Amino acid sequence: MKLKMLYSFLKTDIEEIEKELNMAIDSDTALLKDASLHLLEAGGKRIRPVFVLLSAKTGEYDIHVVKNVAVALELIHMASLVHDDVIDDAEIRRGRTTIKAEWNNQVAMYTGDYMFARALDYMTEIEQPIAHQILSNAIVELCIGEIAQIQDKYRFDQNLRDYLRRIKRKTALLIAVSCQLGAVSGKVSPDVHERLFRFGYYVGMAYQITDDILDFTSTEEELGKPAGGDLLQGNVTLPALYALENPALRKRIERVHDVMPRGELESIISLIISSGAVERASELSQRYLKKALIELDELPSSRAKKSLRDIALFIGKRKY
Amino acid sequence: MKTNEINHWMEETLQYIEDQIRHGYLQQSIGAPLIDKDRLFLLIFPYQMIGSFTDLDRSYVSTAMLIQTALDTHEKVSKEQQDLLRVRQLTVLAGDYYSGLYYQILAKIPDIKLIRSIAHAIQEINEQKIELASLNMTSLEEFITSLKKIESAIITKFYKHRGLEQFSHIAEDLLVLKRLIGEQRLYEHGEYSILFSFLRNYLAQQGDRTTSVEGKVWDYYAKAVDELKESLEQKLRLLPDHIQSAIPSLFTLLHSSPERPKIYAEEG
Repeated sequence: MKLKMLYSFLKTDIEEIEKELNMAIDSDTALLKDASLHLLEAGGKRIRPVFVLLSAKTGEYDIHVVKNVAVALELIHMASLVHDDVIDDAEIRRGRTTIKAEWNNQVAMYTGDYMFARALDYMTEIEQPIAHQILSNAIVELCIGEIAQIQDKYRFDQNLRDYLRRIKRKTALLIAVSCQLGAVSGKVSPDVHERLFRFGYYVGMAYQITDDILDFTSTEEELGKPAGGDLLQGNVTLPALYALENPALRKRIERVHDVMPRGELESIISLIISSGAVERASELSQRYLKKALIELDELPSSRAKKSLRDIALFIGKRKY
Repeated sequence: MKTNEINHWMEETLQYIEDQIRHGYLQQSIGAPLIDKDRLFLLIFPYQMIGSFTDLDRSYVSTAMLIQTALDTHEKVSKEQQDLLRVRQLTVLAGDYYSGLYYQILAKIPDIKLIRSIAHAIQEINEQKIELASLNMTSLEEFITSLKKIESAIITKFYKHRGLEQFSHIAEDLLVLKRLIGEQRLYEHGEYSILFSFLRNYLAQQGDRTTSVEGKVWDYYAKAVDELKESLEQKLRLLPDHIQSAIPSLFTLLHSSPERPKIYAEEG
């Protein structure tokens, strides 16, 4: 089953968001518009807008209000991708050349800053101060998380807590605030939007752990890049962290560096997979998913609740 | 006394900004960002004319400085891949971090209208930066107008929001003058100057391919600077003397005469 099938009843509203995203980047400056469109047309799961819309359905749903939050969050995500490609020196994203590769770093920086500003512009249509406090705190945390990821590269003495804090800031927070802000825009009570924040946070944690597992277990064809890229770049993710507990394996992993021969890296990846680290990482991901589902239990039954549950389960089972 | 007062407000605000942006690893790796004190002065001096500068005013001024610092930090991300990877990575993230802080402070106040106004300024600035980078301008006037927007869009939105728009023209002229002189310095040091690149392209397109093109570039530049100074002097005459003398570094821009860079003499 495809992810989109899980929220097919939102089809019209998702199309509205897509239309609004196109309008959001419709600048008079041709190059800026081309660069933004280049990324927008590459597609993406639009998972954040979906979480926003579904969460808003728990309150007073008005697409004309909630679309502002959905567009803002997708634009913030897109802006961070454009800047991430400068950070990672990436040539390809979503099967297309990146903005920095198609033009240059300078154009990518300006486009990312422009998208971020457009996002805040949309967000200001929401006049509840709490919405801005939630989002701005998340953005600052997200940046701190990205900085920590660079600081922690090739640091093999980190612990589980370091990893969890990093993926919370890197991935889970934006999904959590997508859920929370959707609910805030639907004017729900604080206990409901805080519950949806926790749901999104747990789903986000599970999502990132799964992503980190797939970097070890997927094929290059499935990933669109060589497997083991995270480790090669010095990102110590959960499977590697568990594998580091094995002293013999630790010695091998600690020798990883960015220009390591492919064969040597593949041998280390095989050892990590056969060490049981992937299963342990998968168990932790499942524990987060279970917590996410428990948060949903307290919400009244609805089609939106069922979709949120199905998406969480889908994320738990995804293979690439 | 008045000068002491404004200096005190500036020091306090500078300290507040530094407290906000302090991040051990970032500073250790790429250094603390340079806070443009001239710009800070321009944000604060209207309050001296009003006669009060509250904690809330300080927060407002800080947000305008933070977003400017964010954009200036992103300017350091080079077009080429010559810089160290980690420095480039952290420079991108530092800029993102500072812009997150501006949003966080305004959200806390809360002032959603100013969040929107500043967002509009950032959009305009980045549109203009792309236009400039593409060297799409067809005249020096158009180029300078674009530079003016880049340098002063945030401060003018800020003034408007805080009911201080009578100072906008002075800030616009001073900031663009400072930028022009900055471009001259880049050029003198053999670094890339977007202004001088534009002028050379522009004059070459005019069909003027004689050996005097470089000289003409300078003539165009000097004329633009002189016109700006003249316009500024008229506006500054309306301000009290103590404002003009508060930050000499900014206002001495007015009294410096552009000197023909040595690079021309060598080439000529």
